[in-house]
Amino acid sequence: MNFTFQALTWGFLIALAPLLIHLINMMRHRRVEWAAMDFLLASYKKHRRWVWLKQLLLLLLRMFIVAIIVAMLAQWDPASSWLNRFGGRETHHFILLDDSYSMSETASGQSAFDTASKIIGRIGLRASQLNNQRFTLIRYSRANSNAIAPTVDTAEQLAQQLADFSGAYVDTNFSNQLSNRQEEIQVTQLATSPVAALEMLHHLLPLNSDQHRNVYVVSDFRKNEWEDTPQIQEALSLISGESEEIHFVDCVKAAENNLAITGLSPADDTRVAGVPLFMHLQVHNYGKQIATKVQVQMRSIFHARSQLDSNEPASLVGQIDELPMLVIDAIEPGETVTKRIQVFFPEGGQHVVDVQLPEDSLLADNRRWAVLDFADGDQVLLIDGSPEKRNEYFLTSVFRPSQLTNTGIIPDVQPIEFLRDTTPDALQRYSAIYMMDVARLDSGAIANLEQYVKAGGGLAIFAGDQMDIQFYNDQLYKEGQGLLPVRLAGPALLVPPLDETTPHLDIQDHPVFDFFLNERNPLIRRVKIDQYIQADPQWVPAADSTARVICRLHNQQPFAVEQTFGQGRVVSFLSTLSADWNNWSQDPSFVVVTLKLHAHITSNQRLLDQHQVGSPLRIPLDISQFRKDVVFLSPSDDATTRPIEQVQATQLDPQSPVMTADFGQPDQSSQRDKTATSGIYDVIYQRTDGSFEAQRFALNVESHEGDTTIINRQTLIADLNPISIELNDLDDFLGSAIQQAGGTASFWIMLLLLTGLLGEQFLAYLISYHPVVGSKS
Amino acid sequence: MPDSKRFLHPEAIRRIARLDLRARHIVEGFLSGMHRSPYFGQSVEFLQHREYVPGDDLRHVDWKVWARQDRLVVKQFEEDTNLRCTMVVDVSHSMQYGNGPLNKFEYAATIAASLSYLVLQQQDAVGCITFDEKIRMRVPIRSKRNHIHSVIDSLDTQSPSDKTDMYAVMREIAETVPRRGMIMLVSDLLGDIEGTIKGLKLLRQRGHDILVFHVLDDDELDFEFNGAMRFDGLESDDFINCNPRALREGYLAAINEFLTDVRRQCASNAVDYALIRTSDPLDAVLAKYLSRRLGHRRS
Repeated sequence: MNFTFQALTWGFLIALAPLLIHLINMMRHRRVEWAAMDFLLASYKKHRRWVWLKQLLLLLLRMFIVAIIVAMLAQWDPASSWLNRFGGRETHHFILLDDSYSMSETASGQSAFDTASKIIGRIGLRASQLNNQRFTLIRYSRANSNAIAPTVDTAEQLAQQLADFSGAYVDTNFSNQLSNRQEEIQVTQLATSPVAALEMLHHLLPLNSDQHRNVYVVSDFRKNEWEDTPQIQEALSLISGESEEIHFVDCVKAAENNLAITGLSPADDTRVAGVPLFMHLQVHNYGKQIATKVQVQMRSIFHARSQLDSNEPASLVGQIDELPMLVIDAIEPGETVTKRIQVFFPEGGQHVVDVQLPEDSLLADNRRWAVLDFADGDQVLLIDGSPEKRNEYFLTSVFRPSQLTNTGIIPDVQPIEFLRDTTPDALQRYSAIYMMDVARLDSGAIANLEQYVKAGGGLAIFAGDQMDIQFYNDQLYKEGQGLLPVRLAGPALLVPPLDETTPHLDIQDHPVFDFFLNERNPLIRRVKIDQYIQADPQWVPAADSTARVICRLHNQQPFAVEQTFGQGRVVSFLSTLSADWNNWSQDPSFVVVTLKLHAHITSNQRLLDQHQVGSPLRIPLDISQFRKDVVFLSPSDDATTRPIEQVQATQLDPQSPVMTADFGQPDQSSQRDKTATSGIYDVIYQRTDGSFEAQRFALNVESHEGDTTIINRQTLIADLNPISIELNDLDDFLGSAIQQAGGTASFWIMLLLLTGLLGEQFLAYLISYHPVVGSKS
Repeated sequence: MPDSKRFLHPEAIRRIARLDLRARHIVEGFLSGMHRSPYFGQSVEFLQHREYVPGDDLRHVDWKVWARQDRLVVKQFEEDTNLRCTMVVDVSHSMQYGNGPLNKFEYAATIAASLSYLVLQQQDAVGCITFDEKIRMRVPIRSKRNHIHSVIDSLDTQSPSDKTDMYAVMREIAETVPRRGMIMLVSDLLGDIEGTIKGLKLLRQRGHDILVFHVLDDDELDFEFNGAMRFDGLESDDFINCNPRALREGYLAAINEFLTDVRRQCASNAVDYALIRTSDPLDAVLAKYLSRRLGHRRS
């Protein structure tokens, strides 16, 4: 038998009180000297046995009633003891705990996660007061951390590995165990969906079919997570068939105002040391009230290459520059405001931009980091096929206008043969290749170019007198499969427009030309095109082709066509770069378009490596150039005391020359937490010659998790219909949980007691212990 | 209208300590409420005149004397026979019981004294016998007025003890009271009922008129006890520890059967029987006697 208050079980000795009272009463009979003894004796002899039996029954009943009262005071749990031997079942509490970062939303000094912890503590406490209780606690983040989808065969093993409690038998000490475990559990910065946890539960529940299974989903039930989510509905539908009860326990009463940084990315410009770079900052208002005078703290952290002389954290302390504070006047509810900020780094390397909002109810999404990979210089290859090399001149003039003006672009002029004689690896040092008026290429050069562009390189092709149209169509266009995005017809003269005010170029909405769009800059209206290579009138891009015209002549013939090729991008201009067929190179707009063109065709090389919190980090290393020891440094407020993790790079394939160092891989469940904190992660590895290199990653929270809008509870229930869900808010859940766990038992005990009391009265009446009015006592 | 009989209730009688005063009080109180004087019977043979006193039957007034002498006198006639009345009072231990103002013995003694007083007032002779398992005291039958003191002394000196042997006592009375008369038995009759009936029959065979005053306490008739009790037998060593309410039904059945049996046996043997509770007013007993006395005269 199990009792909540074990000490009160001594009270069962009180059940002997009726017996003692009976014995004392026997000794305290009122004595009467009686005359009519014969009649009394006759009656006594006649009824003695029956009277004795009824008295015994009454005595036992009274002892039983006292025992029941003591049991009620001690909070007896009959369902967990002898009743179970006659078909009673274990009760298994399956608790899914939402530990995504929206649960850290704070109101009145208490976070939703704190509330969830309290609720779970109460469930555990109540369970520990009962017998035959089991307890399973699965955090969303833990369920999401496994790389293997759970199955009936693996679910139990996964639960043992991932759950905080997996079918733990609840004893009287369990509440303390739970409390200790909860002290270790912290809300994460992850944006984890309940789907993984529900799926794991779906496979766990059938393994416990002999138990009474109560499922509790303890969460904040945000709209973005629970609205219109067929996966959740499907998982819940499966679970409802395998469990007796499903409780949704709501930990949040109302959504608080929340501002979040939803984006921090560099502009798609040349990213070279010494050249200022614009960053785009996006701030979203997830609250219901307008936010005014929002102050954004910004700083850049410059990491000089020269300082890296060891793999100690101190060697990675960058130079912090506080940028001027940005003030956003107002952000309407639901609005995203984008601001442009400028950063500057004098040397190449991986530098950091860190922006932060003022403190609000949800801290995790108030800060964001970006790691920017700055090159010392942006080398470009110029191949000019014209005899006078006039094209090269104009381009070099744009890239290197003077000693004082730095575009970061370093032109390297080479002859056509260079493309043939070089290797693909050698071409990789160029961010882009400009081919101007090149007559034809041999097959080696074409192969090198194709490989280069496929690997992410940028290629710009300008037309000219020297071009062998047939060659270009056959070898470069290759029916849409080659580098050239358009099939050419031949040179053509452009008839000037009848209206002199009509520009020769009809620009499209494209990054290269949008600067001039909508007459924002009229310079390009002065460009005059006299001659061009006409595109084949039959040319129509294939359905799966990425080719598109980005600028047309006024006669709607293509002037510039682009396509992606592999990872790279190719833009072909159908007129000369020099002033042979047009006056563009003499127009100021040429500089703008050229720099924009360069940024555009090299943008694929600058794709920002976005990492979210919880993402695994993998460093591939050339086994011949690097040692196996790799150090991962996790974020910390104090840069010199950052957590350090030594990792040995491993060779996944013995034949591969590459080894990898992994950090926070999902298949290593215990490692998932290693990347669960947002911030900058540094990786330091050492070359075989002893020098150190570093690579850093910015891990940011997933911004949509910061949407604290709570789903309408009625909508939620309606969406999940016909799944039977009991939705409890914080206040009524605790009461119902207690009632749920012990209420039924109390009812039956009370019923038993009432029956006993009625039986006692009836029996006492039968034995005539009830006093009669006017009788003698 | 004041209730003169309220002074005849046991509660009131109990305040009178002396039995002779108690008897006189009862008889006088009883008679004062009656219009017709029962003192003298009627006879054809004139005995004497005497002054009219209030309460005398107006039928006995000699109107001729009133017409001549203008004074009221009543005529008195000599009775045919003189009643010989014997009070047989049970003084056994069972008579000791009583939960009311008077226990059974006190009630029985009061009855006997009152009846004796009344009998002597009627010029009849009265005697008294007290008994338990044997005759304890005997007062011979006399008709003198002051004989009442002898009767009362015999009752006063008794205290209940010992068992009852009714038959032996009756037999002895039958042998020692040869002349026919009235025998008034005042007893609870607890004991051998067959012996009692047998003794009464014997007395009847000797020509006695028998009047049985069956005195029982309310407790004995109703048995309304509560709580754990121990009953110790007054005339035996038996005892019972019990809850009396559990036995009440059986007890009442047994005693009612006993009473029915007694009543039936008395009726069948022409024995006048009156069940009297110790809580009953004592005039009921006198009324019973007088009705029996009148019946006797008519017969």
